[in-house]
Amino acid sequence: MPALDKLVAIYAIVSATLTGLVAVLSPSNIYAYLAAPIVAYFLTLSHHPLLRETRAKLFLDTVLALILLVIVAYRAYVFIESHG
Amino acid sequence: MEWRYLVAGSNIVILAAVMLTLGFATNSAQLIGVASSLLVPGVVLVALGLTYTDPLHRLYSVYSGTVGSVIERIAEDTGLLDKGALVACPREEDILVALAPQGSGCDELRPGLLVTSSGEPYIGFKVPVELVAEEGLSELDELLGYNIVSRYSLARGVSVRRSSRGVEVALLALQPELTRDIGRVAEPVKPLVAATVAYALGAPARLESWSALGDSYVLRFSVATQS
Repeated sequence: MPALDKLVAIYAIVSATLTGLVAVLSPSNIYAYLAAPIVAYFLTLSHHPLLRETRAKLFLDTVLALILLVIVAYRAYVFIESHG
Repeated sequence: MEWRYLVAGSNIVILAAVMLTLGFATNSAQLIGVASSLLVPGVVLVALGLTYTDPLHRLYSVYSGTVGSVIERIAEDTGLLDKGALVACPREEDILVALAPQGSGCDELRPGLLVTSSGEPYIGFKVPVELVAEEGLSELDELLGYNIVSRYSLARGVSVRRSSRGVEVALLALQPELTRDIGRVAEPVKPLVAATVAYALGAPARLESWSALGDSYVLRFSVATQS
């Protein structure tokens, strides 16, 4: 099995596991669903030396990191607002 | 391009789009959530499929090493290893890059394994202009940055310094596959940089010296002034 296939398989498993956790812990939270595969991406694929630092990969990293950042910032804002 | 990932990613994206539409239509947060969760790996796989080129790089590395060994052997047998210098000569439709004895003029160099008018052997090959030129880029700094970083991904950065004696090009964070070839007579970086310098300045560029420190590679060229 090629090394990249293994890496992608690990990413898919981690992503599915995190999504499954969200489905169990917070089934109606859309933001958590969206954040799960992004977290999985940064845990498994993003930093791996097998993927070269191409422009496309840097773009993908940046976009996903920004989405994650917006989700975290929004959830933090909602949390702070609801707790006074 | 990796077709398997592209096909798999496209399927996942389509599936996620259908689920998203259905989720919005039925106002189901769970369905929208799972669809969003599915969409991200789909996009990641599409991006991987479109951009992954590592096996090709490895193949190129083997090919380059093999060709380099042959050229090195010829250079060794003809004595060019000691007295030869890399020179790039811009011509009308291409750039001639040659490993030729010091003092050889561009006018007498041709592609192939030939001898100069003084009877000394040299190796010359053509570099098509399309390999180093890019529409809209004419400045040396821009062109080198584009070729080295964006087009061929040889290094992560390029620094160019010009002086009265010539041009110094520093390649920063060279790709690991290339660092092991540093110092070899026939490695792909030197001819590419020489050809780019000669093309951008429109004048012959001769490699005077090089140095390497870690994963940085510095090449110093003397550039003939145009008459």
